[in-house]
Amino acid sequence: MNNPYIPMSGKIKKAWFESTDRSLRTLDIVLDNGKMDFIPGQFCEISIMGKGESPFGIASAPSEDFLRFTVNKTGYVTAAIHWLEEETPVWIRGPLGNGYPVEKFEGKNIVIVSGGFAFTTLRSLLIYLLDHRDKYKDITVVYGAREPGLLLYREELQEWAKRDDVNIHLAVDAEFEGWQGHVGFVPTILEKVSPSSEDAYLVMCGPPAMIKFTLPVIKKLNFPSEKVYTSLERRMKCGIGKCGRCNIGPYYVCKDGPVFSLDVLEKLPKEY
Amino acid sequence: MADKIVENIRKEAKRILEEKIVDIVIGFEKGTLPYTASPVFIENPDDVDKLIWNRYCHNNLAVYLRNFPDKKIGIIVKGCDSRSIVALMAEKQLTRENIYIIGVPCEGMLDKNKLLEEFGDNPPAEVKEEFLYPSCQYCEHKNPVIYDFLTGEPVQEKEEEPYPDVVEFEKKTLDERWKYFQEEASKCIRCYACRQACPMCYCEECFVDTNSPKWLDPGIDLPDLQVWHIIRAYHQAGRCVDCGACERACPMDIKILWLTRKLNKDVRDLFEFEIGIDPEKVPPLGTFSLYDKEEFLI
Amino acid sequence: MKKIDKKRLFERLNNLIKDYVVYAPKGKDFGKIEDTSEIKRESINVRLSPKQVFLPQEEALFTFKQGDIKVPENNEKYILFGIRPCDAKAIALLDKNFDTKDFPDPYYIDRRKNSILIAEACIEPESTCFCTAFGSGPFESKDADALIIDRGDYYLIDGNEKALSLFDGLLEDDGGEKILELKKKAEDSIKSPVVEGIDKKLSSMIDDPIWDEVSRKCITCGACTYLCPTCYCFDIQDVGKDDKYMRERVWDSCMFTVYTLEASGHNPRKEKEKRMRQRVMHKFNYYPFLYDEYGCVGCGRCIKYCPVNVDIRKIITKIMEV
Repeated sequence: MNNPYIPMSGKIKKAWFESTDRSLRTLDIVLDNGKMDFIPGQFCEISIMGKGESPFGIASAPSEDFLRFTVNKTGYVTAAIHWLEEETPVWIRGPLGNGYPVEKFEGKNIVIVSGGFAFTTLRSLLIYLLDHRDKYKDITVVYGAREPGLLLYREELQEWAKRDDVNIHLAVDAEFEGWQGHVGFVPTILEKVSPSSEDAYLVMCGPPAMIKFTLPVIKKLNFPSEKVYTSLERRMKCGIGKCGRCNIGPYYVCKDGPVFSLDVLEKLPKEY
Repeated sequence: MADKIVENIRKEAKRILEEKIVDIVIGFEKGTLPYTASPVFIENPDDVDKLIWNRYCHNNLAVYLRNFPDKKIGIIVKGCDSRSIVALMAEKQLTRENIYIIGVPCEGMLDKNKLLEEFGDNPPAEVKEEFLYPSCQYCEHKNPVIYDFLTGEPVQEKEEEPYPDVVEFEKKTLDERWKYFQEEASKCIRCYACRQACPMCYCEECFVDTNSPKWLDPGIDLPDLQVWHIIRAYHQAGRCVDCGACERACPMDIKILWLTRKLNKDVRDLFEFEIGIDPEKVPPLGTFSLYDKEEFLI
Repeated sequence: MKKIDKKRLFERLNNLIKDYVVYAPKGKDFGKIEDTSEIKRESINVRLSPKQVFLPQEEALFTFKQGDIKVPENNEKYILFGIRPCDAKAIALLDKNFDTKDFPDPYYIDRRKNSILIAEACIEPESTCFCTAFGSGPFESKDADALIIDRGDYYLIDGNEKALSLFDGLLEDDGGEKILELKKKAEDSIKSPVVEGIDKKLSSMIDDPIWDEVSRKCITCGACTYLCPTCYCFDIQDVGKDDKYMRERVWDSCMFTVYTLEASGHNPRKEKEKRMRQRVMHKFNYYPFLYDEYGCVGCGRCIKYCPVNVDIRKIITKIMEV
């Protein structure tokens, strides 16, 4: 019997501070025994032996040779992860969860809406979509942060912005020296960009405040709930729907999620 | 006597609800098991007939006071519960003006488990001292120390040495005491009923629940269980009103009162302090005085 | 049905202790025995339920030393003697969470597959029993490998081959003894609340004011969940020091504030009415949704040991009245 609690070993190939405030650190990890097959939107549990495990969305795309995670320093395990240096061994369980329904998205327009450091799994999704560019119609990204230094993967964003097969709209909350993109909160920018909801799916990840104010805009743009997807965060331990703590109604965020469509969430307790 | 108290409780509860002196009254209703009363929360004056009083109203209702920060609360208290209110006031956790206290002189609460064992489901005709909970047997404050309304005549307080059990326990050898502590602690399942039943265990974050720093491993290794019980007791030193709610809440029947009682006795002997009498007096371990005993310093 | 002499059964059980880890009622609680003389009941049912055999309060998932992961091996065989039918059913419910197709839990399954459950009928159920609410009963045999019925000097016994073969050579003809009346008397003594349709009803009660009402007296300790034979929620933590660590799982409780507390400080179930709703919903709405069965067996432990007399039967009745 496969033991789902046992992590796989890997090594940190690269590690750097992702945000200028040094609260976010990105790790590129290579597993010792080959590559991991996964779907954008899935997550892994990263172990620091002796400290514990924490769940992180996979920020790399399946086509990349490494697993990328961007870790926000908030607690005990994440602080320990921040200390890890390049070439350190790490332990990983995954892929866990369901991931974005990329097959369902085929042949459709895709709108990606994100704020702050919730962009991680959306990087994975965006690269996946670009890797299979002919399968999808228009791709629009609206991504904002408090200030430019808090946008994730800034160099890549600039590269994507140059492409003519994807519409990238970057925003910061307030005017910032040298900033050329949009200024304003994500909901406002989304309304301004006003992507068509026709034949489209919308994927949204962000902090609770952003989600709260973006939902009315999404309704205004006529996206039906079943065509809006979001990825939830909860305190997840086992990652396999056993330990009980991450449920929202009868669904486990770790196993049945973390990606849910809005119409499903609307019928469940607001426990997230 | 008890009937008169019930009548007085209901009348006063109805009055303070009707006159909007309070928004809610915390008292006891009939329990669903033999020898049991259960906390109840009355907001509608027409519901006051739910309120009861008997020898099974053992819960310390002061534990609920902090649950209603926006409400004026009426509360029915025994001697020990009233002392918890005073203790919470001393620690600035309650505002006296927001609480209306209905005091009940208490003759001690009866131990459900002892009665079940002795009489099954049929209540005894005569109540004997030995059926009392241990905390009630040694109680020095049967009458509420603070109240707005008293439901009956004060009862006779005890005059004798309040810590005969601790004095007896202190005579045991170190090994005997350690062994006893190990045996009791080993029964713990870490459900924290003791902590949750205690009005004084109000920390927003309990030391067992933090992970940075992590004071304690999870699980039921004996040393971890012992550390839990030692630190819990130490955090209560001189703050514990000795109501016994912790011990009564324990589903595993762990004897834990002796730990806090020993510390209470020490605080009394060392600092001549007793909690829950004067809301202006801060517990000795929560303050500093030049005259503090420092015999442990060399 | 067969008949088995008590003395001879205990002698056999004593012999079986060589090959099996035998658990039985030991006074108040349920525990491992070295000799059948330790078997003793202080009340109808034990306080700590048999779930501890398959899901111990604390167990190592693996140890980690100098870069190596080592998974503890367990080849023990277990006999659970004298558990009550409600607790046998609770184990069947735990199976549904741990023995799943997608992620079978090896620790649980290793113990469970090597276990024999011998249930004992409740001739005189307790006042807190309400097993009949969930289609079970004091003489229910289907969730155990065998059911024994105490008849003084002997037991009546019925069960599958796995269980009965333990007592090869000791089983006698039951002489046509009828237990129907005994069974009916036991069943009739149980006053169960009506639960019919509660699962569907709860689906529309997520935001009902009832949760505030029924949770007010709750002091949010974990006594109900730790003693519950079907509550299985756990935490995973690392313990140890220097270069030797152990990743272990330990019981956890949805009634605790910190259970869902996130590192950021956000807590989706901060309010106690949400935690009470979770406990009730999990048993009476989520479990039926996922597994087509209620997650409660009516053993009454949560009622009996609650420090403030929160009575789940009363909560059920209130829900049904909404």
